[in-house]
Amino acid sequence: MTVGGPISLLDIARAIEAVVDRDDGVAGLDRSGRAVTVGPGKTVKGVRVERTADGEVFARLEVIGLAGTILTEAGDRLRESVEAEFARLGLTGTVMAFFTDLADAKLSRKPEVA
Amino acid sequence: MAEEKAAPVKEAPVAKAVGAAGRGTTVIGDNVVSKVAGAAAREIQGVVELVGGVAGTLRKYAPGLSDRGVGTDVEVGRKETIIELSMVAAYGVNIPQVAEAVRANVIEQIEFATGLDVKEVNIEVTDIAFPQESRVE
Repeated sequence: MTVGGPISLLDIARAIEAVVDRDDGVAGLDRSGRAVTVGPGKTVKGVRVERTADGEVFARLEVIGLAGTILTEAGDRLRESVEAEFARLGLTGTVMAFFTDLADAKLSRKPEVA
Repeated sequence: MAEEKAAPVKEAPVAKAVGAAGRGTTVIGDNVVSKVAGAAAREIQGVVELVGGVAGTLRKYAPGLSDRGVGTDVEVGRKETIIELSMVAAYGVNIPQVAEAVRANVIEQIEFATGLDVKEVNIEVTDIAFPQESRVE
């Protein structure tokens, strides 16, 4: 994370990615979709983060839901978690959770290799 | 002349366009609605399989794909959805009863999972499967 300056879009996207990974109400991010945040040396797939003209953050999350769950409630809880993360980072913004697919269980994310 | 009554507007059971906090939205994709509808239809006894649809066509060329969305085509709006199903029924069942059971279960599952208001479930029974027919891919 950037220290001593404004937080980058990539850092925000990574923070959102971590929130989705921790959330057991959804299977995970859909990394095959169009939503992507690109930064120096790294991309975060499944999340697109933008700054709006009034300085707020807009995040679009492409999410795979869990089969058999109430997706609207899962989406609301996920958005609240992401908004809480925004608050922790000193940001305000809007979150759109877009369910693109369903899975039977939480998706595991392979640890990144340095 | 009697004043015409406006049709009652059914409120969706779950908030979906605007979240509890009043910020942001939750959107359910076509693919998700299609898979929920397909799974709900398959739960009904007398449904042998679902056939056709966009997912069915794709699956012909990529057999490894999930069959959940096969046989279902959906139109999804902000609050409403229309579902088209193509299915093969088992020989000996009462097809209208099976179709009605499929319709009821699809509506229940879609409204439960997505909060969308299901306006129509149109079912086409394209074939009948006899018990002795073996299914060889």
